[in-house]
Amino acid sequence: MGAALLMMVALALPAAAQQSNQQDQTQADDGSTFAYALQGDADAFRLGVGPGGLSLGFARSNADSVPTAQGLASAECQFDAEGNANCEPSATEQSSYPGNEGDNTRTRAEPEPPAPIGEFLSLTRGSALSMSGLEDQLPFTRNETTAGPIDINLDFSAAPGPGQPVENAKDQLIEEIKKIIGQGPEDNPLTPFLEQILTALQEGEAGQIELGPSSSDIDPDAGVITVTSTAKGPIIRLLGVPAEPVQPVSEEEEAGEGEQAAEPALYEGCDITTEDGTKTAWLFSIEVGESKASVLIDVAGRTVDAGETTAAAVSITGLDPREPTPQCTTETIAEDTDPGVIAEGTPIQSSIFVGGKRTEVGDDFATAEAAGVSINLFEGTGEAGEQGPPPIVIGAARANASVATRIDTPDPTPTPTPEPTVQNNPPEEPRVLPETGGEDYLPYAIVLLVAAAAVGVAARRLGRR
Amino acid sequence: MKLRRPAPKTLRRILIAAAILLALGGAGLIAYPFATDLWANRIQSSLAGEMNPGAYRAREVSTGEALTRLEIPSIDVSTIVVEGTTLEALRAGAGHYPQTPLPGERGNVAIAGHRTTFSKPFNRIDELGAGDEVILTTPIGRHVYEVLGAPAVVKPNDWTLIDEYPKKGSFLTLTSCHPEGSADFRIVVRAKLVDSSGKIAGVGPVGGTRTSHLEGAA
Repeated sequence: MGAALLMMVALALPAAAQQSNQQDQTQADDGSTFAYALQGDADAFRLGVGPGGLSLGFARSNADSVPTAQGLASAECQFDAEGNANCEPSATEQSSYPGNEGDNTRTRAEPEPPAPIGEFLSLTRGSALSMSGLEDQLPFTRNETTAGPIDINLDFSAAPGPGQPVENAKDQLIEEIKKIIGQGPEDNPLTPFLEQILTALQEGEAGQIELGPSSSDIDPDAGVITVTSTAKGPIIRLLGVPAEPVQPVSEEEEAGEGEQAAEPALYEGCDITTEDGTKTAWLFSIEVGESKASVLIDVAGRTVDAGETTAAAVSITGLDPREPTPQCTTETIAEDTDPGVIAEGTPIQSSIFVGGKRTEVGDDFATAEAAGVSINLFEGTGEAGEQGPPPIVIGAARANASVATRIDTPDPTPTPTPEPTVQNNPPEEPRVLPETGGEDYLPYAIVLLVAAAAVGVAARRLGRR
Repeated sequence: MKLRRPAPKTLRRILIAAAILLALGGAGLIAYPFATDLWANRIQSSLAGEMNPGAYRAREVSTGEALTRLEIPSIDVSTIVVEGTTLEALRAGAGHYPQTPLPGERGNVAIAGHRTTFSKPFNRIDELGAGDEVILTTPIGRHVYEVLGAPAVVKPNDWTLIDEYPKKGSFLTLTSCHPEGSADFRIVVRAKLVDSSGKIAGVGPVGGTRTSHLEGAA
């Protein structure tokens, strides 16, 4: 992907260099021209069902040495199989310079994810902000977007394509849970809990995604332009059950009589949310932190470098079946580790990849990537239980930034001295601010009226003679 | 006894005609400013409701067409500003310098207005001081500027306050003739953008495509 990004940037450079004119601030005394192109983008959350995908929270920035600047922030963009972005206008703000400086307001919208994704995702709201222009004659663009939260409907039966195999996998899971409930002892403390999971799966409303903001900015400061892309990953919560309060203290305990062993709190360590006074404990929760990628260019010094680049940390909180009462444990997955696999060998096998970060700096380019997290769901839904391409892929907290430069040195071949020419251009007329005062006609009017009176008197006297 | 010879009728008629013409001329000069006010008011009436959001967004407002409404509460000014500062355009009362940015944008927006004729929207511009608000309402947004200080008097060929302004921020400059009834000088007021809502012109497309796919780098 880095190569593709650089190629795209390099192709943009000739156009940028050709458009260079008197406004180009990067021409040295030796006549060489320094052209640069900057780009960044960040995804808060991307979901792909089959080919292509949907990005919820996408920010992109571009700028070059002409200078021009362009920005886009959208709460909803669809990517086709070739990776081209088509963003929902009602949830999108764009800005560009020159001539079309962007606004500095935020748009709010309720994007509707397309089918089949819209069959099992309900997006609450989205907002976007985009600004582009010049600062100290250098380009800037600032773009920020937020989206979410999203409710997940686990009824995949209505979704075409991979929806049915996923629904089949869910049905198998429900059957397995029923067996566990039927075969276990009546006083098994996990039984009511499993029944709750079963209810959530059967009713199909068992998930929630809380999205973070994403941003991509190009900022000049004292001649150094920095591209910074950030994406805060989501918190993905699956299988929520009502969180009962901690066991009430008995009257004996209150009176200090008798000793009671301390009961562990239910759902201790689990991710618990509260909405309208109702607490929900999520039995499976993935939290993705923030990725950041940045590069910078010193325009005067004509040098490039990578800036601060960090990968999102990932933590998974899930139900620990070994504990006698429902409790959760949290595991943090470090970057660049082996992929984490869940429910391996089953139809619901899923994998988590933590991509880490990468920077590369050369004489005329610098790139930074924080690849974020990729989750492949229900990998085992192929025929006869074979592994196939995952029908649902989730990407989160992905940020990229890059800069490419080029120096064009003029031909050292001496050119003949041009013949002196005589300019016959007429001297420029001095500019004058618009005349908006007008003469004061009152004195002239008075003079005319007095003169009229005098002439009238003279005419009257002539008539009396 | 000598009889008086009567005055030639022709001479008397000439003098009466001259007196009438002089009186009409004087009355015309007195009525001229009022006539221009009526003219400007008629233009303002025709401009009301004609601001075109699409043309504004595309920066295609023609000379003489409505661009924005200008309000200055402290001196009771409310007028529609047209695009351009030609003599014809300024018959509406106030016109936008076409070489300057549009309301709300970075840089220095400049507007010229009449002082004594054509509804004289800038007649009391000399009364403006620091903190006075100037509000520009375009078809797609509303922008509030705050006057930075007392007006300045400059020569007619002095474009300093139009061409030069701080690099960061958005500014507004109002110009008119000075003193009243004279075009010997110009009076200039500078204001700074303090509040903005809605949009500003020309949201352009973001070009280019990108190749992307969900990654799972192990």
